[in-house]
Amino acid sequence: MTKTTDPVAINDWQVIGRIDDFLKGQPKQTRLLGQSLVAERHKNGDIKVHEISELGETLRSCPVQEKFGHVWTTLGKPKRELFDIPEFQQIDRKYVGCGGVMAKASALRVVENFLDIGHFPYVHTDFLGSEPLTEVKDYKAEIRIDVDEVWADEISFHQDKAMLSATGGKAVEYMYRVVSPFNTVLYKTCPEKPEEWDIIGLFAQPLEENLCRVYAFMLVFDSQNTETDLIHFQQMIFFQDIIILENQLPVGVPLYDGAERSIKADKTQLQFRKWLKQKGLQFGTDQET
Amino acid sequence: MIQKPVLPKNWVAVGFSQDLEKGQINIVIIEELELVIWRDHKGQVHAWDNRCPHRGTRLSLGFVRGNQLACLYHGWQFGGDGQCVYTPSIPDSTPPKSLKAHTHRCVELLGLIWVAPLDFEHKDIKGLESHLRDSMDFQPVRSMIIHCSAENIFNRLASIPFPPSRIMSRRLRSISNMRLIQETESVFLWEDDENRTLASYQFREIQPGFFQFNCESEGTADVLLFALQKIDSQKTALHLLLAPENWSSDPISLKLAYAQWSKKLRNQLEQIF
Repeated sequence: MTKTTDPVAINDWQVIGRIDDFLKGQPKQTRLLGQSLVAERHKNGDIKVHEISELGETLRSCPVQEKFGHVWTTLGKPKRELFDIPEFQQIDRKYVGCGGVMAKASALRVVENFLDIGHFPYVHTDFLGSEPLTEVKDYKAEIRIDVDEVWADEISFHQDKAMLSATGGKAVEYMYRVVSPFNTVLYKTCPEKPEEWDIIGLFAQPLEENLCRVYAFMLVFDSQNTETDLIHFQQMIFFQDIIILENQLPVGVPLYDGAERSIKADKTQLQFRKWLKQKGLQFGTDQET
Repeated sequence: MIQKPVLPKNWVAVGFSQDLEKGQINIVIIEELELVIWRDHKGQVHAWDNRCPHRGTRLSLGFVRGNQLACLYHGWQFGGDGQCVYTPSIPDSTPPKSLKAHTHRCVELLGLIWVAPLDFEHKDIKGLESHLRDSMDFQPVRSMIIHCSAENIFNRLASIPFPPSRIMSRRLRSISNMRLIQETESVFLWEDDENRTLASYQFREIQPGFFQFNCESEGTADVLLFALQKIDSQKTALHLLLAPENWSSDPISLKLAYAQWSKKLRNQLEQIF
């Protein structure tokens, strides 16, 4: 377990837990990009994060910020600020932080799975999709250079039970946004308030190239269901995905040509891979032999 | 950078035909290469890389529908030749030829399933049958995994005979002054004081990883076939077949005797190496 040498991964903000995971006076050890860290919330409420050696000696101190219900740190010097999710300011939204779930997979595979729609009828049968309504109609996907994010919109898919608050099957609109290589959000039709979007997000903490902890969260309009019910629904969906995520070979996402075949429905993923290649990201990718 | 594993350039036995039913899917590993082996509803066996060409999902998690294998992730359907014939997310289009599983040659012979690379330049596997006498009726005894390298298994079997009790009976073993002689590199004889052969044990390699053993004593002659499947440098699968001189009225006892013998053999191999 050694710290990565990939500058693109190092010089970026990464999640290391929920805000509520860090209690005063209870240091937590964790790992980021192969590097062991210790994080502790002090009596005054501030969180301090340090890189530590394998023997536990304190090394470099890392910058920290608490945002979007989670704690963020970096092993390097990010060139830009942490991304923004303005909907966090909307007070009538219900925020649910699902907590971290380990996946023996590359964090990039987890993000790609989040962006994928074609698997809904097969992995999330009778919830997010079912046969024979398997078609993914053409949609738009692009790299937005001004904000340095990948966006996909004009996506529509028939879902039997799109959200816990949904009653009956119908066509659901989607938009996807990848804010950084290991962090992404989606916007989908809100059953309770059709003029708004419900938001589901995924922050992946890359522990190792083949191991990550995934923090899912929701920012939704839902006056009916409890936080627990919402977490259970999301966990069920994610555990269905884990079956796939832990069975993909190679573990890392191959960014080189010819390794994997894509079809029209994979537009978002293809833009995502192109964007990662432009950045020169290595961590979580498969290297061509 | 790890070298990706490839199939060796010879036929490798990966299991018994009877252990793979129609519609069933198994995983086998040959020299660290993971393969999906599946039987369609026509009865045909297929051996492919256990990796969907789309996003690398293990095809072994999928399901057999008729004569096609469908991947669990996006429901892509593949025909017996490995060609993708349907992608549910774009149902009205024919998938391009480039959407193909990585396939290998796969045939059944002697009750075993054999795999070889597609580009393997060698005479057809039927040639194997010519090495064996027509009158022999080989039946599967068992498959087992041995924590020992394939090379060590071969060396051990070739140098230290381990006769089964059917051949080296208690009565024979009690004969004093019985000597073990290695007559040739591959022939072992047990003789008594007067140089009479009491039992013999002969092996020969039919092709890499596939051996025939002839064991004889007091009118009993058994022929064993060992098919070794190298899983990795420290683990080997062994598929054992038996053809006694005649299958008596109790074939199950015969197979059981050899299954138990093979367990003892495994214990020996795992201790020494």
